[in-house]
Amino acid sequence: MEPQEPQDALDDLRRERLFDSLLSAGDRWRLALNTQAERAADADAGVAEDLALLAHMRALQTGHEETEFARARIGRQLDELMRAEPLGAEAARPPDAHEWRRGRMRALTAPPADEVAAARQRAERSEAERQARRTRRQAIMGILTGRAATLVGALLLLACCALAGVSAAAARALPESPLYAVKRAEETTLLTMSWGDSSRGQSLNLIANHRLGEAATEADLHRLPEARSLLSQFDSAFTELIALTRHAQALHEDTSALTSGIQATVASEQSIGATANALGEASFATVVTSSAQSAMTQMQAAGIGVSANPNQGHDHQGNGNGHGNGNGHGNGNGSGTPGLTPTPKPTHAPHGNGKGKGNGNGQDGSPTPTTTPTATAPPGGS
Amino acid sequence: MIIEEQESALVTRATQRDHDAFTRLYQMYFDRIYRYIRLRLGNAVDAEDTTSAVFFNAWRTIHSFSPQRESSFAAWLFRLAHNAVVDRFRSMRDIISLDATGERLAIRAIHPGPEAQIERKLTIHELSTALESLTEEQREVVLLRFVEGLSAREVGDIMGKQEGAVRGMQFRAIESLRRVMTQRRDTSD
Repeated sequence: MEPQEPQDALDDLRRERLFDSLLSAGDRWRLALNTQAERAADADAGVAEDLALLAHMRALQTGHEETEFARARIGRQLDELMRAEPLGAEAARPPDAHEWRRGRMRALTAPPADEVAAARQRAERSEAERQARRTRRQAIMGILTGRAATLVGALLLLACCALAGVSAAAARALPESPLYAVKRAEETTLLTMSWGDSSRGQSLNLIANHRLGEAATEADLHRLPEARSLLSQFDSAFTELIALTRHAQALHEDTSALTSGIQATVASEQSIGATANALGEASFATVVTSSAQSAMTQMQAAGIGVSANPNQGHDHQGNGNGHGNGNGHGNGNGSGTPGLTPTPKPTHAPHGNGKGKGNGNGQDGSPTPTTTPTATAPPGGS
Repeated sequence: MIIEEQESALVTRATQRDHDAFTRLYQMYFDRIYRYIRLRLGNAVDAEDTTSAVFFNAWRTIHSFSPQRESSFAAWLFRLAHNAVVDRFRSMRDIISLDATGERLAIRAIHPGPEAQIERKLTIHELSTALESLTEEQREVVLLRFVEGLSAREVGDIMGKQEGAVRGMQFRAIESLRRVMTQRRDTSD
């Protein structure tokens, strides 16, 4: 290591002090660092340049869109975390200061040494008695344990079955149902547990589909205000889904699964709109169509291709002898009045031979194609 | 001063598990914490995960925050962020490539106009690559003290160092940074 010249060391020290004093004064008096750099320029060009560099660094900012997206996402997770925590659970935990005070109180009120020894003897006797009782109890318990284990196992199995049943029933619940809260809680959990854009996108798409299905069912039951409200919730979820997809695209992530899911969702919505229109539910049809239009606009803005109208060639009057243009096979063999409620839709385009089939009266049971069809069947015929 | 009083009241309420107060603190500090983590880690995905871990941890442990023990709420929060970044580096040491992170930064400088005294144009690429040449401690000082504007005492609390040591380190850090940036600029010219 080369010995440093005394003069250089002094200079370094002076420069360090000058830099520190100008920086501190700037912080204290809220002076712009550029102003401080100008002041330093007369004394030392290096310090002036350092301060100018700091001015630039203070102005650094992350991209607005990226920051806002992260803020919204983390904020939502944080909100869920705070709501999930029972109120007062943490507050009940004593802070460190309380713990310290309690310790001090224990020390101050401790009994004299002889009393401590007597108490220890009593405690030892009591412990021996407890031990004897425990041995007797264990002998009896040994006999019962085998049967109890079987009983507990059976009870656990029953509880699991009951929970699975509740979950399955909740999946079909509408907002009026007491099980609807279970359904929403499951959705929230699913969303919280989804990490990464793709996983979160799939969850959001599933939630959007739930709202869409519920809206259609409510419209079926002629509860239009409820249907509209659910559709509005669908719109919110969809907007979030598109924002998330754009974010994933910006990060060059693979969004193919996500986009095909989005396409399937919009195709479902279009299908519901067309069916509502055909059934004379003009008011609901208008709202759905408008929502679908908005969804398509958002998709286009995000560079996601919009699939062709899947209802081209559908017979929505309920006497459907055929489903039109798709790769999908419709198997609607039921009878009765056709409804708006969609059957579960595949998130990917089903493979097929280009001919749509569907024999039956009533329910529209056709899977919705999500890509441009390769062959078009004539409306109403297979 | 009014802002400080408001913050102090919010912090007191948040320590009593007040959701609204904590949410407001989150809104107040999100940008700074995110920017600090983003510059340390270099990519948005890791930065988002780590930032969420910081705020989750802050909510879980805010009851232990004591204004008497800490120099400020900001210092306490940045210490959580500092620890989270260190943990992240430990778990990803072999994965992170600093060269790559420099390229992936989508950070821009606002007001990037030329200075009157010194004609220097700081680009984020310059800064991120220059930061790599500093020691870990110098990099921490540069980000906390200069980019985030924390006081030397607060930075000392976060890094477990004396205020005087931070003051000494900050000058050497900025000098090294300037030298590296000048060298790179001269080489590219």
